[in-house]
Amino acid sequence: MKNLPQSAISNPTSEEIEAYRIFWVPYEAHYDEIQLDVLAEAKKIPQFEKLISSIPPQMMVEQNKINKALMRGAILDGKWDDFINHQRSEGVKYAKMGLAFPLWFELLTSFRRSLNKHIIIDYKNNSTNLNLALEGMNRFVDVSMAIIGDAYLNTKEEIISTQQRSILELSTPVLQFRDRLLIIPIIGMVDTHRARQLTENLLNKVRDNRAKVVVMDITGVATVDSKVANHIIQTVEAASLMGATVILTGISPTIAQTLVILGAEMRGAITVGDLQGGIEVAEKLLGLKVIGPTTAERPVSAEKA
Amino acid sequence: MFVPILKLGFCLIVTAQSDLTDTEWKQLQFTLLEKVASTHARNVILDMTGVNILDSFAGRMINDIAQMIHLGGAETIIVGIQPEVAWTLVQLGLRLKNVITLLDLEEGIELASRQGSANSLALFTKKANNAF
Repeated sequence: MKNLPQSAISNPTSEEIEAYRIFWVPYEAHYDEIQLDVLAEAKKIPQFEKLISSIPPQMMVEQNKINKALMRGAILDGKWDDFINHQRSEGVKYAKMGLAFPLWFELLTSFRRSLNKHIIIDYKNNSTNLNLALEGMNRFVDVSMAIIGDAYLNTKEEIISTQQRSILELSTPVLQFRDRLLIIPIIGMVDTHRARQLTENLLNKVRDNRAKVVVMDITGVATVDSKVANHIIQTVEAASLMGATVILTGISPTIAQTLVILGAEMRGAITVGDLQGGIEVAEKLLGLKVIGPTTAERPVSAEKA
Repeated sequence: MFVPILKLGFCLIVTAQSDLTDTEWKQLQFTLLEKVASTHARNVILDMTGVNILDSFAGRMINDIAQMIHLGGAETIIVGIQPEVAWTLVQLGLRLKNVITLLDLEEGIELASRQGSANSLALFTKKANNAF
């Protein structure tokens, strides 16, 4: 996982600590009021409203207490690591809940507005402290957001990559249709990455299932670029090196035109119009014969017709 | 590594049991061609099940050996090409002309016996089949 330059955050300069402390005094004094303000604002946003109403009030109070203790520990006692870890886990939680990131800035704005009010009132006679407190607040909020955001994005990235993996696994099934006959239906977009996956899968399955004929059906593929077409041809060649014949079926008119215009000849591959035809050819290659039901076995409904 | 060359009727069976070095390929080329000439073999089955990695030199060697065997009047059947090796051969652009590729040794011997070169084996299977 990529990490922020945490040292800068967990080791604030003495000026920063000073600013934090000055900002912390009014924040701690009005902590509950500010929380209520933010909560009221949050309830105006439908997504948060749903979230907040799902948390029991008792738990909310507990969480607030923990938050407060952690912030206090960080600002007054320098326990930044605990605080950072907590913020991180919050970010991970939000990402998993699927909360949109921009919404947090809405909340932040209301938090700043509320806190600003209190700081200005409390320090109205001391402009130096007022300045420092505002600076401390801004820095603190930024730091918190940086940590949460980093964890949030990392989690999102992880979610995306796991999904990508599972899509890849799902997207290239190799089916054993008969003894020594495999069928590979390809559906959806084929990019270079997926094509490579497909090749690997196909060649391994040829070996493991001792396949003699492979029917590759690309009815569900909308477009093919020259790279992918080339890849398919190479796959066909590699399979034939392993002693398997590949039958390509379901090449749509668009793909047929593209392939010819690209100059990709499907050398070595047998092409058949549709999957049914492909399977028939495959059976012929394997020396199999499909025998229809004899008169005695014919279903009753067929007899009537 | 020593690569054994087995004779089965008019068929030679060569099994590369692991990845071969360049010199070993070269060595194999010499001994195999000698053997093809001396035994008047009609088929050479090259079993590559044990070969997992193939570089451009080895790829070219296989192709060369096959062409040389072809000139010597025999036919090469390559069996047991692993997925990675198949992909490498294609990537190298090797066409493997005058070569039949089959899945494994069983199929190779079956083909050879059908063509009559692995005669003793054909006889054996026939006898075995009759016995059942």
